[in-house]
Amino acid sequence: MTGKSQYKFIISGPVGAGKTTAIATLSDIPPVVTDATPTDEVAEQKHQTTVAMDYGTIRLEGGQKVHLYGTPGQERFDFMWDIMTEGALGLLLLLDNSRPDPLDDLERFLRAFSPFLDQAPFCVGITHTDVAAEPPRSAYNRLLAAQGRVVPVFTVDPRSKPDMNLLMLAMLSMIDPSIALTACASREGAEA
Amino acid sequence: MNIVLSGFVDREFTALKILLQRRLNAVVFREACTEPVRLVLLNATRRVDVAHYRRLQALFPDTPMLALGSAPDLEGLETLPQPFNLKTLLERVRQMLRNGSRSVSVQGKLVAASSVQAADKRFDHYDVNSCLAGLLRQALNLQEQKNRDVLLEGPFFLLIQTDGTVISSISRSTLYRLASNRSRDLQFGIRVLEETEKQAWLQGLSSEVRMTRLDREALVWAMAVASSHGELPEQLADTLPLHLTSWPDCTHIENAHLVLPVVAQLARRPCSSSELVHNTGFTTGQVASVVTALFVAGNIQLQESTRPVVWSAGKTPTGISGMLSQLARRMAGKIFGGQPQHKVA
Ligand SMILES: Nc1nc2c(ncn2[C@@H]2O[C@H](COP(=O)(O)OP(=O)(O)OP(=O)(O)O)[C@@H](O)[C@H]2O)c(=O)[nH]1
Ligand SMILES: [Mg+2]
Repeated sequence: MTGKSQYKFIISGPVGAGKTTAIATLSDIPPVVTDATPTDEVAEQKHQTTVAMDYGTIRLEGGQKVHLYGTPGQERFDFMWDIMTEGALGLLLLLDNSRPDPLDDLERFLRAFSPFLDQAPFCVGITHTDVAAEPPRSAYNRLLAAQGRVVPVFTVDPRSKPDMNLLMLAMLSMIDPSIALTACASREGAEA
Repeated sequence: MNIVLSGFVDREFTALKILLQRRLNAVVFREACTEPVRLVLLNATRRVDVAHYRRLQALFPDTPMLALGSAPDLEGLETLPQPFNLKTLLERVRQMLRNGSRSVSVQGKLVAASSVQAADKRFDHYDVNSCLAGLLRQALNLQEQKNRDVLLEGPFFLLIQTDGTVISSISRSTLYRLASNRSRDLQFGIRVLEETEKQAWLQGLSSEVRMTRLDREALVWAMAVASSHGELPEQLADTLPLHLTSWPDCTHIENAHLVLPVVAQLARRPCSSSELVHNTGFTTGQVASVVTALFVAGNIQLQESTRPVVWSAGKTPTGISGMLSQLARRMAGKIFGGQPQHKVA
């Protein structure tokens, strides 16, 4: 990591999982989105889809920035994934529970990102559980455990700041477990 | 200098602790101690179980052991027969420490800061099998094995479904109350239902039965917390390393601010409950309720055949650059507002 002036996290997942929304929720600045009106089969699913990438930042004291990049969900853009993950600190994988086979999505994304996932922390956010309750979270956990991966898998609504913060915190605590402690303590202090 | 006291009730333990602390500057532990131990004091004023003695020998090999009282069954054990007073006790302990200095045993690779707290921070235990949360654990195990819906049938019923929901004939608040009371006298049968059986069973229910559909994970979690009362399940000794098998759904359980730090520690490597108390600064009660919930929800397993762990000094995780950890810390501070402090209330 030495010499890296860019600190970045990648947010990925299938079409409509909520990546653009998640970046908007987490970012300090209005996110830069490259959404366009889809022309292909995606058009039936949604009005706007990301064609290049989403970008947001979390600004830290002293002017340092953490960059958030969202991958385009459509698979015809998957050539970008390798370039985007280069040098990234972690990957946040969002999966839409209401898609036809979200567990297959999980497997596909694990495969696509596997070299990166072996050396960097990653977390899974299951979205749209308000629309589709099944498959249960345990099914995702089982699939991950079969691959020897024990990672945070939370059900989240990308529009919810507390949900996204908690998922991000879990990611950070995989970098250093004591972080959860300090962050949770300061939050508790703030609530009191 | 560390001394382990075994077989003493709280009152005796405290009295001895103060004595040894003041007069010999010793740090006193119960059996949960992975630090180099200089002496083990065993209470033999009551009958000593041979198995207990053997276990102590295994835990503290090469460490001198002194039995207070007589222990005729225990061969080769040095004893200080009754009656003895504190003066003779101290004299004998000093003597043994002088003679026994050859046999300082270092166990495992874990090094701990001397800490009297380790002795103070004791967990209380309860039998999770004798309450509703334990029953639920059994049912969940069965469901996991068979991948079928499981029915708990008794004074009320819980249908635990593979789709992640539970159908209950009583309300959520009543369930929590029963869990919290640790009602021992509730009798239930557990049975696995095939789909056709389940349909027939549902149809057979009288129309008067009111049914509530609840989220399985949130329900199990809340019931486990309600039944723990800040005590640890008996199966989970304070010093046994716990192994994380899956993360709980932190966005949908109560007290995520307690759960996340505990789970983050376990995610790095297996830790015992005692260690979690040290590493998080939470009380034994807080750690016990989180650990109970993780246990009942099936997020942790006992790491078998490992040495007991009280505390490990290695706080900085390996393989993580300081710079990265700094950055992550500042990000967390930013996300949760204000500078994070290293203090837990
Ligand atoms: N009901 C519900 N809607 C959600 C949830 N998450 C996201 N949405 C909505 O789903 C739609 C799609 O979200 P986006 O953020 O555009 O998804 P995306 O992952 O960026 O999609 P692509 O760029 O096409 O890959 C938006 O209208 C969101 O508001 C959720 O958990 N529940
Ligand atoms: Mg998008």
